Amino acid sequence: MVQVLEEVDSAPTTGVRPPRSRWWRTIVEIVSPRNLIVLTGIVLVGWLALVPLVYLVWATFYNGTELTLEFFARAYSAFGIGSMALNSFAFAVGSTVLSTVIGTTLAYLCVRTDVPLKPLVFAASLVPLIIPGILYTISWIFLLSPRNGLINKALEPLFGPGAFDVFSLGGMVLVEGLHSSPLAFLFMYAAFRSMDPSLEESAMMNGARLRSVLWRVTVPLARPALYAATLVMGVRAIESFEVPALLGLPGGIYVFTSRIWYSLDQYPPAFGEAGAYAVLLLVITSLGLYWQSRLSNRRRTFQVVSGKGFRPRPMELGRLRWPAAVAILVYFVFAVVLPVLVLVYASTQPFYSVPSVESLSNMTFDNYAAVLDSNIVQRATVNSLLLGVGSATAVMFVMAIIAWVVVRTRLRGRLVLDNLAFLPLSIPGLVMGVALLFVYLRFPIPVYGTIAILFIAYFTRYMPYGMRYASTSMYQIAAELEESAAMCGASWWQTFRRIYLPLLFPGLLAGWIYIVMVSFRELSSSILLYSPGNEVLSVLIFSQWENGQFTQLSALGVMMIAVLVMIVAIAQRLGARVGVRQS
Amino acid sequence: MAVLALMSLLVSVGCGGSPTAPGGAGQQASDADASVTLSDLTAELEGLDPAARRQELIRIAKEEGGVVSFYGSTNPEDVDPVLAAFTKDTGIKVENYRASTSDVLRRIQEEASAGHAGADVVISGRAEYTQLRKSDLLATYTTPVAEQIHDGGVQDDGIDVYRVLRIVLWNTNRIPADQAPKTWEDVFEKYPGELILDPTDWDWFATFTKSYLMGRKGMTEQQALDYWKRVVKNAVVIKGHTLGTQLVTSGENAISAVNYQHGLPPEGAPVEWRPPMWPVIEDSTLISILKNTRRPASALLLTEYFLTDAQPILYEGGRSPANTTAPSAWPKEYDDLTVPIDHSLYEDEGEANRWIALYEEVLRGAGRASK
Repeated sequence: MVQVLEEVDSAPTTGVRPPRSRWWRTIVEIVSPRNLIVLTGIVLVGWLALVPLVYLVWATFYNGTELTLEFFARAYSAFGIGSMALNSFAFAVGSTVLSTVIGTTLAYLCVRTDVPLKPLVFAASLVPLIIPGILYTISWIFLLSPRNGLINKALEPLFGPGAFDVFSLGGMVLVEGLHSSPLAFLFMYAAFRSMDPSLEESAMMNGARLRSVLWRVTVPLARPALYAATLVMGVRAIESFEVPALLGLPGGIYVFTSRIWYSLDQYPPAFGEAGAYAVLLLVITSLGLYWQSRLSNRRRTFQVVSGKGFRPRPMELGRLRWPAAVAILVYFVFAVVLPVLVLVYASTQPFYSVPSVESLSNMTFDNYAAVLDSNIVQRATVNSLLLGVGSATAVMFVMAIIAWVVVRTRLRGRLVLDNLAFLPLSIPGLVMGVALLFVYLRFPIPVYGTIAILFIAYFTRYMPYGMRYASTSMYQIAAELEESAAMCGASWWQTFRRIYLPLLFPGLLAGWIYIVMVSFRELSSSILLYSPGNEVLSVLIFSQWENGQFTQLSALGVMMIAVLVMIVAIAQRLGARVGVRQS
Repeated sequence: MAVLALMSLLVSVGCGGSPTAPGGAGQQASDADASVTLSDLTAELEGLDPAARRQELIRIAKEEGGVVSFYGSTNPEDVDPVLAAFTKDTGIKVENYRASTSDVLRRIQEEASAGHAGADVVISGRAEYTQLRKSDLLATYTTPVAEQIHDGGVQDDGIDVYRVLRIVLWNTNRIPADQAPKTWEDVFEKYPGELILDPTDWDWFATFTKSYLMGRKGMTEQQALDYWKRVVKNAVVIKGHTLGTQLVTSGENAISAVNYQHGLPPEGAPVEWRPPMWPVIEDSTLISILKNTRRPASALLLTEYFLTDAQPILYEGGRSPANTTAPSAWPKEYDDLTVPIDHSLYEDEGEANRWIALYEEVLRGAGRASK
């Protein structure tokens, strides 16, 4: 049981206590609101995480008649495993470093400085997240392919043909890094918003220059968020499919996921082998998580949200103000404007060709008309919105509770809980879909065939992100706040609702935005689990992609981006009013 | 808590075989076998003219519930007009589940092993049709409409809906008419660094190697593989036929060895594929009825609709319908260039995986996209 402050025992202590009242006290303690809420959260997370996990392990170690390691043997004796591992490592490290640097810089500028154009920074930082992976990668192919890439063609007078080649490890790192930087941005945004600047101000008053302050005060304080972001992005990069498939294969670069998908493309799909790779991914993820939690432990070092009031004040950049703005504009142009322009252009064409006077005169809105005409698109948009907003809200709320358990209590097994909540990140989406299909077809409650099964899939898939955002923010809150509240007579629920939730808000909002954005792109589980009437947008995108309708797909993508940008803008304005006030 | 969750999972999952085995059909499949009902139905409808036959099927379908469930990996642009027309003509609603062909297969297998009757009718590629058949999930049926289907397109549990043809495609700005490929050797050798190969086309690779390199050119299997390893250096691996077609259309790559003929860009794009060269490897998609359907008449009605009224609609979508009375996007004069995909590959998993591995080995030697 969770340790609580000892209650003052007012009953007489003479004689033996009758057994009944001791049992009664125990029962009352067990069914207290705190314990019920916490227990529900734990059981929920445990069940949701274990379903695909157990299925995966079973599929990997059991061949229908006996326990076996044959799938492992086959998987790891495949040709080129060594170079694949190296490529995966290089790709993961490169893209993680790139996205962390970009995301952290943008978040710092946005939250802690007086850089101009802040709404632009926020939008620019998030838009890459909204664009479906296939479309983002293909836009970059049209920008940087060696022969016809638009950027290469523009640079031809200076550097000759084919200056940059997107079909290379560098190209893969660039595209994945840019595409993932919003994730780092959101983590660091939440961390910086909650940070008391008095430490930085003291440093500056003692004569430290901006650079020293950053390196020696700000960044170390933001370590839990940095580690969390690094961990999530590293795992995602290892697990990434689109970029290695579209950019790596033509460049002769094979990574881990190329092999997972190769196994699943066998006839019939070799689930056992795919599972053998996925199990390694799970082990790496668990190790990463263990490392992260050791480094982000409960030391007071990171507890920057304390009982003392504070108002984060923007740092003045002085001479660097406009250079910073220019740098942001340049980033915005490369990460957002160019890929979106390519998509917008493609969406107005009957077929893609390098822009020319002729092609521009052939512009048409037929693709948009076809998209808007379709009532299945309308239905799918509504479904995607419902599922996205619903699962994001549910995940962030439940994970706030679980984060409290993991960070603030001494409950035995809480690290296992943390691990369980995180592991679905490394389970391939298809395996997750098949696991859920298998279990819920046999479930006594009729979840299969309804939108509820999609909700379960989304909750499970996004639980890991929610957990990292929530726990990162939880590390920053000083333990003394809860203790003070308890001493003033607040119940656990009052403390949670009136102290934790508001202080966690930046992290919860960041996680919420992230989950809503990426849920629109979730495909590999949705496509197995949806039923007619419950289609989501990603399934439609997939149909169009498989059937060669690239220009129509671009139109759908552009419209999705517009809708999601509006949601983000609304969320940000609402979010600015909650949590810690900025001066 | 974790122990509780684990135990409840194991209890609910306790029945059923290994997840790696395809679907475990028959272990818990419903006892319904639509083959019997369908055979009775066919006998009942014997001698009726097509209009009367259809009316009778509609009547029984309405008694079955007025809804039919259709799973397929079909293109919405092609199939949505068909389904809309079907509902308009018959009054029967269609619930359409659409996913990749392997997802459709997986879902049907999982549903069948859990005793859940999800799909009534399925349209699938040959590979997946063979898997469904081997898992004993398909009902046998006969229909007078089968007489109109092209040769070789009728099995007792699946009939071809449309033909799938893979052709060579090149960009006419990059490859002018006088340099266009005239033989397969031209395709593989004349355009170094430009040729696109798709890693998912292992069945095309196997059939092409056997029919052209080993058949027409008289090579042994090893000689054929050596030839492939030599010419693959001129090729680039691009995953996804859509992307491959885009790259050829935009001129980034000059030529692609395997494009879907129904996936060509619209008129006006600077691409060409004619005249095609023997062998044009031909596959098909088949329509089947699930054995555990509870709505056999509805299923038969939709099946016959797909094989008749739907065929001209599919042609308008750029397809090559299997019904010989319907117009086709595949010109009749090229019919003798086609070679059916080697069906034995799908029947024998060991052989299939052998060719998958050979193709992967060949592609490892492919060139880089950059020069």
